[in-house]
Amino acid sequence: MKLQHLAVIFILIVLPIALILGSYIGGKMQTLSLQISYDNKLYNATYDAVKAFQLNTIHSGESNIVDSKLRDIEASVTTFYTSLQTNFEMSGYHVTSLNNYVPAVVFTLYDGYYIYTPYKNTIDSETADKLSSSTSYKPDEMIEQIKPYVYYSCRYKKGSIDVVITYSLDSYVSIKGYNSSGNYINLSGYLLTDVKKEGDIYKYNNVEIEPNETLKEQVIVEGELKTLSFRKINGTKYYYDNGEVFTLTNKGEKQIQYNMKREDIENNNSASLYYEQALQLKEAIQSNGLSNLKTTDAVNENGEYYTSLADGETEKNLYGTTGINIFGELNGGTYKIEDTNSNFYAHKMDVIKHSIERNLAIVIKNFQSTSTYGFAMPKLKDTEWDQIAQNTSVITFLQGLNIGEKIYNGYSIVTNNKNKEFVSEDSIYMVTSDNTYHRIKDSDLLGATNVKGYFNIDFESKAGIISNITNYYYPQEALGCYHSIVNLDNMQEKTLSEILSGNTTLAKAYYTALARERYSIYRIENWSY
Amino acid sequence: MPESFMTVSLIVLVGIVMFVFPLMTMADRADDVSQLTVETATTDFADEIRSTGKITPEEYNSFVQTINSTGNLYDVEIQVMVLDENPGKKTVQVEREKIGENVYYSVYTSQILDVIAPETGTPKPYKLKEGDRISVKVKNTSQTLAQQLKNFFYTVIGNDTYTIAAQSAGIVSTTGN
Repeated sequence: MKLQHLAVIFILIVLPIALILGSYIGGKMQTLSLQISYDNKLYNATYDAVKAFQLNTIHSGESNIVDSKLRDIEASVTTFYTSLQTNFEMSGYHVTSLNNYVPAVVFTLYDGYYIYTPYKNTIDSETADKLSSSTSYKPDEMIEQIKPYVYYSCRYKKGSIDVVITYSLDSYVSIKGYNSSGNYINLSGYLLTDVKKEGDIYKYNNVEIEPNETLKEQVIVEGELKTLSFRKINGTKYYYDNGEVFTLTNKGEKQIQYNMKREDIENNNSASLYYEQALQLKEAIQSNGLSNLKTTDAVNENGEYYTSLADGETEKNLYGTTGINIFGELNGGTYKIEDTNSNFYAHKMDVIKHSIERNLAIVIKNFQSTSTYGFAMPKLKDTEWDQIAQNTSVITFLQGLNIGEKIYNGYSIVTNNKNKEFVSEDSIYMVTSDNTYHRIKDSDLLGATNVKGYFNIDFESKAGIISNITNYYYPQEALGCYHSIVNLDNMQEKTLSEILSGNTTLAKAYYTALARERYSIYRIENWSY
Repeated sequence: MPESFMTVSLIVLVGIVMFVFPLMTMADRADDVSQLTVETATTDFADEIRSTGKITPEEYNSFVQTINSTGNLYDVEIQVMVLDENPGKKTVQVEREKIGENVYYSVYTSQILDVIAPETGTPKPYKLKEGDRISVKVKNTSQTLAQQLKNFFYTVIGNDTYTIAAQSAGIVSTTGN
C-alpha cells in the first residue's frame, strides 16, 4: 500500500470523528450558553417583579390591605411576564404567550405565601346554575390567578391540647385552638427569651428600653411639605399638626382622627408595648399548658401524628422522631428562642419548607396536565431556603423551553429587602447627630452617643402632590453613610448580639427602634385597636 | 532526483496531514472544553455574588482554581459599580430619578483584591448592596496549544489575541452581611 493511500484512509477515519466530536461539543456549548442566558433572563425578570412590588407597596398607604396586596402582586406578576417577554425578545406577543412555560410564581410574605398559577376554576353545579349568562366564569375552566393565601402553620395535638401555630419570618407566632383544659385560646405575639419588667421600664437582654419617644418625619400634607411628629399604629402613620391628629390618604388629604390626642402621638410607647406583649405571651404559653408541646406532637391535616404514619408514607417522621420542646427556649438555654440557631427556628424552618414544597409540588403537578412536557419541581438548596426565610421574596419557575440538547428547567429566587411587611434585624438604620444613617454593624457607631433607629423604607423616596404635580420627598432626610450604606467596607465582623452587648447606648436605641417598628406593622389580628 | 524530491515532499505532506491535522483538531476541541468550563465557572461566580451580596475569598479562590484547572492562565477582571443615591437626595423634587444624580462609581479588580486577597493581613469578604452592579470578565493570557499551532502555520499573534473568554454581569439583589 502506498503512503498516499494510508493518508487517504487516515483522513477518512479521522475526519468524521473530528466533525462529530466538534458538533457534539458545539451542541453542548450552545445548550450551556442558552441555559446560562435563560437563567439570567429569568433572574432579571424576577428582579423586575420584586422591584415593581417594592415600588407599589412603598408608595401606597394601603398596601397592607389584602385587596391592595393582591392588586400589587398581580401588577408584579404582569411586570414579570412583560420583562420576561422583553428579555426573550418577544415584545408584541400577548402576555399569555409565555404562560405555558411558567408553572408558578410564589410570593413568600411575612406569615405565609401566595402562589400565582393556572388552576381549574371549580364551581359546583349549584353555583354554576346561579351564574348569570353574561358572566365570564365557567365551571372547570383553566384560569391563571393568585391562589388563596397559605399560612406557615402546623397543627399540634397533645392530650386536650389541639392548636394550630402560625409561624412568621421572625419569632412572631399566633396560636389558635384548645388549651390543656379544653378551652378556646387565641394568642399572638413575639417569642422573646430575655424580657423583664422593672417598675414601668422594660428590659431586653438587660438593656433598658426607651419608654416614650417622639418621632418626626417629613410629609406632604395637602400640598405642603412639613416636618411633623408621627406615630405608626397597625401600619398606618398618624401625624400631629396644629392641634389635630390625622392620617393621610394616598393623595395627601387629611383624615382627622378625633379620638386621638397629641400625647398619643408624641409619647410613642410602641416599643414598650412590644415587650409587654412578649411577656404576656410567655405567661400565656405557660398558663395554657403549652410549654411542653413538642415537635413530635405535630399532626397532618387528618389529625394523624407524623410519627405514626405507615412506613413508606412520604411524610412519615416529617419533623423527626426526637421530640424537641417548641417553646422550651423561652426560659433560657444555650440559645435564645428568637436566635437563628435556636431549636425553635430550626423547627419553624422545617414547617415553612414543608408547606411551600408541598403546595408547590401540587401546583406544578397540576400544571403538568396542561402541557406535554413533564414538569417537575426543582429541589431548592438549603442556602436558598435560608434566603427565603430571611425576608419576603419571589420565587419564579420557568420550564419546558427547548434549549438544544435538553429541556430547560430553571427557577430564580430574589429577596425583597424593602417592604412594609417584615422588620428584619438589618432593616433598622441608625441616624447619628451628623444627619447620616448607618447600618447597625457600622464601626462608625462604636462611639456614637446620640443615635435613633428608623425603618429602612423611611429613607426611600415617597410620592406626594404639590400644586397638582407629583413630587418626591424623603420622610427621613439623612444621607447614607459611605462606609455602611453606599459601601459596606467598615462593617464589624461580629454577630449583632456581640456588637450590642458592648454598647448600651447603641443597644438601647436599636432595641427600642426594632421593637417600635415591629409592633407598628399591620397585622390582621389588630383590627380592633 | 525529481522522484526522490517528490517522495520527500509527499512524506512531509502526509506527515502534516496525519499528525498535525488531528493535533490541531484535538487542540481546538480542548479549547472548546476549556471555554465551556470557564463560561460555567464565570457565570456561577457572578450569580453567587449577585444572590449573596458578597465576594468571599473562598469563592474567588475556588473560581480561580476552577478556571486554571483547564491548564491555561487567565486574566480575571472584576468590576463593581456601586450605587450612590446621596447626590440625588433633595428635599422635594419632581423627578424620581434624575439622569446623572443616581451615581454609580466603579471599583476595579485591584481594589477588590486588596480586600479579598491582601498581600498582608487577613482576607475579608468584599460586601455589596442591593442595587449595585457586578461584572466579571475572564480571558486567557497564556497561549493555548491550538493558538501555538495556528501561530506556527499562520500568524494571528497580537496583544489582545485570546481564544477563551467569558463574561457575566448583573444587578446584585441582596445586601451582603
